[in-house]
Parts: sequence; structure tokens; C-alpha cells
Amino acid sequence: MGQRVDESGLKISGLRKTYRGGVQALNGVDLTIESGMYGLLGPNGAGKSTLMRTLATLQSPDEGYMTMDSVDILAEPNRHRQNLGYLPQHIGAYPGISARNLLHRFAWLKGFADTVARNYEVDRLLEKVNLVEAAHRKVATYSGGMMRRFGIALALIGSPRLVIVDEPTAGLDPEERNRFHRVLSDVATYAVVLLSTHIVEDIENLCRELAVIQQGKIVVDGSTKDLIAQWTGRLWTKTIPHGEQIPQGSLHLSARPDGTRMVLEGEAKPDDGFEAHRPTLEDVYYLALRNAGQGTA
Amino acid sequence: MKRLDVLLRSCWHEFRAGAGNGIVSFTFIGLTAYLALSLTSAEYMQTLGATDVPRNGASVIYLMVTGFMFFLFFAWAWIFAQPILRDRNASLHEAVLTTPVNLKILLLGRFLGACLLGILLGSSVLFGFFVAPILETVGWMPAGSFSSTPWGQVGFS
Repeated sequence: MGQRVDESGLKISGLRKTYRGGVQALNGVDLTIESGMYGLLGPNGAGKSTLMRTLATLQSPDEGYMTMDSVDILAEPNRHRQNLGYLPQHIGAYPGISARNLLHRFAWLKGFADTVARNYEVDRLLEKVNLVEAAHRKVATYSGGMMRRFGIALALIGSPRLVIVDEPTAGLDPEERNRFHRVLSDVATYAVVLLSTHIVEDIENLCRELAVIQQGKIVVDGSTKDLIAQWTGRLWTKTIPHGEQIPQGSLHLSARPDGTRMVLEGEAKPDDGFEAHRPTLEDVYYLALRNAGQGTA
Repeated sequence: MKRLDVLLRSCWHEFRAGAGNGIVSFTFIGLTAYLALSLTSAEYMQTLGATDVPRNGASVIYLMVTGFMFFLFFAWAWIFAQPILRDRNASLHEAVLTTPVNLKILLLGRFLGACLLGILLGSSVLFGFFVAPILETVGWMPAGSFSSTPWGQVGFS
């Protein structure tokens, strides 16, 4: 702990965390993210939230070190927080307070002591997340999508260099989801955005790089495109009609109107009933879990 | 950001949030009304022989304050829980904890604001005895029920 690395971006090394009761949430996580949007995938309980809460300085690791733009996160948490934006999965508002007033309060907490600078920042953020017209409304009356956009505005106060977003599009309709993605994509041009989600498609569309975390370890990481491309020609699919026995050994199964679609991995086509399957990030995710010892199909 | 600025502003936010909440104003008005109700329904004391005891006498003040404490205990418990619970109830605690503000100073400011609210609620006794002579003026109590206000006892209470 307490080491300095003179490089930009986020660097995590040997991060370990064991909760009381013996649950090992992080088991030696090493990660380097230089810039842009980075996806974090993993099943429930894999350690994603612990990793993000640790990066957000909400809890301390037992071992390891983390730096963001050469700032030691553990040694100088307040300096790190100056450049941190964190959007937790659940965010609300004080009752009876408008979006503008709440943004003002958080801008002040972030160090915008000067009223003129604070006004400018609040206006800029409301504009960015398209909430100018609803700025006077009480936040508690916002819809789910507006609340998420308000949340990202809170996280973006002060143009942070590291933005951590946890399940940001859960429960949003497609239009709001797309709007939210555009905001995140824009932020990723100047900041490291760590995106954790269960929606694999979101990561496939938005992130150039990703990591799959399982039982507190990074089991796969790298370029989204490369990770997908390496499975080309090795995946096969077949739809099993309703009522028929599903063969063993599938990578993953998904429901289709005419039955169950199975995908399996193999050097050659298993039989004539199968056809070549173009790999997706979802396949990469299941393959990573299977190779790490937890097949889910 | 200056620590004093954080302290004062968080104190003011806490006071404003508490004062704007219905529970504080309801308790303040309720306790004042309770005092007025007690003072206007004290004829039985004269029947019992307490003819020379003014309704704002020192012993009455101490008696009422002791009774008020029962209600104030619960109100104060609520007030002093708010600096922590408000953020959590609003699901904003994580957003607050990831700001670069000094948490100890922030919480100290909030608890000072809660103290001011507690004092405000406690002053409902003072306020009640201060406005009680109006009840005599409007004829809800017999003339001569009040003596000059014993400020020392009211203040001490």
C-alpha cells in the first residue's frame, strides 16, 4: 500500500478483501484501465460491487493498492474524491428539494464554494443530461429515467477523471437507455468510465475493453473485439423444440418461441442439426465463467 | 473548502431541513397548546386550596417542564437521528461519502444544527409561558391567574 505509479489512468494491484464471516469478495484483483469506457461483468456475488465501492473509497481493502492518475487512492482518499464520480445502483433525493438545489448542494460538497462557478457548473450539467426544463421540479417526482440522468449529473460534478456507474440502465425503457448511453459515451472521451452491468449488450455496444470477474478474481480481460473474435468458428447452435430432451454439454441455453436455443463450444460441428454461431459477448461471458469453473447452463 | 464554511453551512442545512419538517413544527405547536390546555384547566387546583398559586408560578413551571420532557425525549431522539438517517433514507449516503468534504466536520455541523433544533423545541415551554397571559386577556382564564413572569425559573427550565 501507499506506492506511487507515475502513469495516467486507473491501476489496481493485488486487491484483496475478506468480509467478516470469511467471505472473500476480492481475491487478488489486478486491473489497468488507461482511458475510455471499461465494462465489468460478473454474476451476482462475484465481487463487482465490492470492487467499485473500494474504488469509490466507501470501504478499504485488506491488501493491495490502487492509483488514479498517479494519486494513491488509499493514502490520499480526499484528493482522489476530487476527481471521482460515483453513481450507485440506487439513488434518491431529499424530500421536497428541486434538482437544481440538490445539484447546488452537491456541487458545494465537491468544492464549488464560489456561487458563480457553482451556478455555471449546475447549468452545464443540467444541459448535459437534458434536465433543464425539469430543473425546478422536485427530484422525488422524477421518473426512473430522469432519476438516472439526474444521478449521472451528480456524478459528473467537477468533470471527474474516474466515473463509476453501477447498473445504470436497470429498469429504463429503450429510449431512456439510449439517451443514458449517449451521455456516458460522451463522458468516456475525457474520463475513465467503469461500467458495471448485467446487460451484456450494453457493454458490447459501449466498451472497447472489459473484464469478467468471478469469485473475486478477474478471469478474463481485454479488448471486447478480440475476446469475441477468438471464438469465431468454434461455437455452434441448435434450437431444440419444446418437449424434447436438451443434450448435455451446452454453453448456455436461451428461450425461443419454437423451443430452446442451445449454444455449445467445439472444434467441429457436433452434428448436422447444428449450425455455425457468430460469437457474441454473451458467449464470451459464459465461456469465461465455464473456464473459471462455473458453467451456468 | 474552509472547515468553518463546511461547519456553518452543514449546520444551517440541518436546521433548515429539520425546521421545514412537519414533525418539528407539529411538536412545537402541540407542546405549546398542551401547556395552554393545562393552564386553562387548573380550576380544580383552587378547589383543592391552591388559591395563592399563580399559574406561572415556579413550581408549576418545573412541573410542566418535567412533563414536557417525556415528549421532548422522543422528539429529540428523532432530531438527532436525522443527520445520519436523512442521507440513508434518501439513498444519498454513498454520494455524500464520495465527496471530498471532511466527514467529521460535516457531521459536527449537522449535529450543531440538530442541537439548535432541539433547543428550539425545548423553548416551546418558554414560548408557552411567555404567551400564556394572552389567555387571561381573551378571558379563557380568570383575571389575576398570572403573576409577573419568573424569568429565572423559565430560563433555568
